[in-house]
Amino acid sequence: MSRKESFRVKFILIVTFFLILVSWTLCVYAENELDIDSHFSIVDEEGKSIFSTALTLSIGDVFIDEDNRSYEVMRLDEHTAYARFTGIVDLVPKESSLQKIFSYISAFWGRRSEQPIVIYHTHSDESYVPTSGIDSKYWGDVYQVGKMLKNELERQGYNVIHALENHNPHDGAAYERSRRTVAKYLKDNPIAFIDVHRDAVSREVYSTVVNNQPVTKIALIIGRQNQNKESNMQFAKSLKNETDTNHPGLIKGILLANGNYNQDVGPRMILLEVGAHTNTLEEAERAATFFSSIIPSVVYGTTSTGQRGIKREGSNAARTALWVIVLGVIGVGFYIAINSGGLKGLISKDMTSSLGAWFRRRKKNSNEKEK
Amino acid sequence: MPFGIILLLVLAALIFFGLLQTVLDRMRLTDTEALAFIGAMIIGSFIDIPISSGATSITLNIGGGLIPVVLAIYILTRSKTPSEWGRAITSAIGTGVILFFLVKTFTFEEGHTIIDPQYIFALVAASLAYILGRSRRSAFIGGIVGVLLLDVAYLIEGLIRRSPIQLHIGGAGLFDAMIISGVLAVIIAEVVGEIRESAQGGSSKEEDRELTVTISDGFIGHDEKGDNSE
Repeated sequence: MSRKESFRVKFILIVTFFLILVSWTLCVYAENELDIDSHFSIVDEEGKSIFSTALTLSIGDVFIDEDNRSYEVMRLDEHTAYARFTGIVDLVPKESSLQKIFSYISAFWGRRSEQPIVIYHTHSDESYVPTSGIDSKYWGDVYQVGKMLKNELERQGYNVIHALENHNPHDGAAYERSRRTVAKYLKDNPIAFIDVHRDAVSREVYSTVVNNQPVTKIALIIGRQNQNKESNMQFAKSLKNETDTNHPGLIKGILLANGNYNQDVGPRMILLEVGAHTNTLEEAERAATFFSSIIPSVVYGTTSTGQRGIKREGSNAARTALWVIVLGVIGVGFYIAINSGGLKGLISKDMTSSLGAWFRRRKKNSNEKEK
Repeated sequence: MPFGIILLLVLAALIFFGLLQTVLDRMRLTDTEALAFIGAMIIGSFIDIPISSGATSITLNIGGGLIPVVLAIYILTRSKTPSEWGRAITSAIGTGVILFFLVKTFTFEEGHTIIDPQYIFALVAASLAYILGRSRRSAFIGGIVGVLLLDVAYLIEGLIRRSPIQLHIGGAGLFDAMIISGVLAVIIAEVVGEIRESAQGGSSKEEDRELTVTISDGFIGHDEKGDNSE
């Protein structure tokens, strides 16, 4: 292939690549706009509607509903997700003996009640229309919800940092900006991070009554594209377990979705959707007040079920660490094998690539020592 | 442990044991230089330099922002031919433009995401660099500079709209999108490149010509395989 032809091929490839990206993002954008006020319905294998949500689902997503029934999305058709019922989830199961060993290891690090809880807002603009008249403003109503959480936790005697950083505009880089806020407060040795959001769906989806007061439900979101998925999932399950016991009906469910939401940073990172833009700020604040009463039990282990959740979290974290090491070794081994031309190249003494350099260096060093 | 820290620790260990010699040769870095840069990133991530305060507040994190950019420039200056310079700069700017386009059209809303943005940043940088010149160097430069350009765009956007600006360049330190996308981009380009090149059984004629140019410029090929991938 001549240089000119090669340039032409590359040019065509780049233009095609760019066009695919543009059309793909435009499609997704259009879909996002469409979803703002529409529902995504989940139906079971028999076609029975299970629930509806504003959250768009992907194949493989897991949703644990209010009654702890777990569904895995198997197929998508426009705004319908066909899910398979996978069983009733035991939110804080008993430990196996292997898990006990892991939890003893993790208990070594311990946790202290003076470690702060950090509350922040990746989507700084999110607001409640019935209260503010608009769904988006520079300092969104979610800061008021965060403030309510902070005040209630402080009233109970706990240390809270409410991050007042603003991550606007509400675009695709918002999570990269809030990642920098998370990193900033990581230096204060916090025990947990709570990213407070609100959803965008019709009013009845999140409206409920708890203790005879109108409140919004809260959905717990866990990203499944990070290594802390298991620990964060256990954290969410423990939060749901405690809330279900003390304020039944407050938690809408747990969604294990695509994405990371900066939850790779730690084992107790949670994203809350406190109601939707169609609910009032007062309802959301009331939900935050109820929710704040159960947080210490799960985060600091002030109740026996909270303690059990913490142990389970610890054993999950230790198991994940083991998996990261195993996968890392497999990945590196695979890479070296390709790099040195297969297994033959890998064990060949006069190989020229990766591992060869190491062997050559070791050989050279031992030869020098002999001299 | 955050993803960025795992990535850097694994890299440091691999470099220490000499297992990344081929990649480092392609990046035109020695193992000592690479370890020194990783060390500087770790220490520097604890230091922020304030650039401006008030309504437009800008800080620069040394480990997450300054060192990666310096490393990208250092690698760029080691390019030997004008076409190599051109490709690296084109792919870096191209990455920045595509990333800006992506984040403005796709909000990566909870439950609306196919893949997390920080992995997309790396994918874009790696794909563009690989298509333009099968280059691991360009992938790294694109990953770093692409995210930097996003920050610059955010600054310009804020100035135009006259809205308050809180910009912390590389502010997440070791696990900032800048380092993650740079390092991941090299890994993607390297793994894809190795699989493709070993399946192809060597490099094409045109690339062999470029190797001759590189050697005549005084740089001796990085390995003895005859594969001149950058």
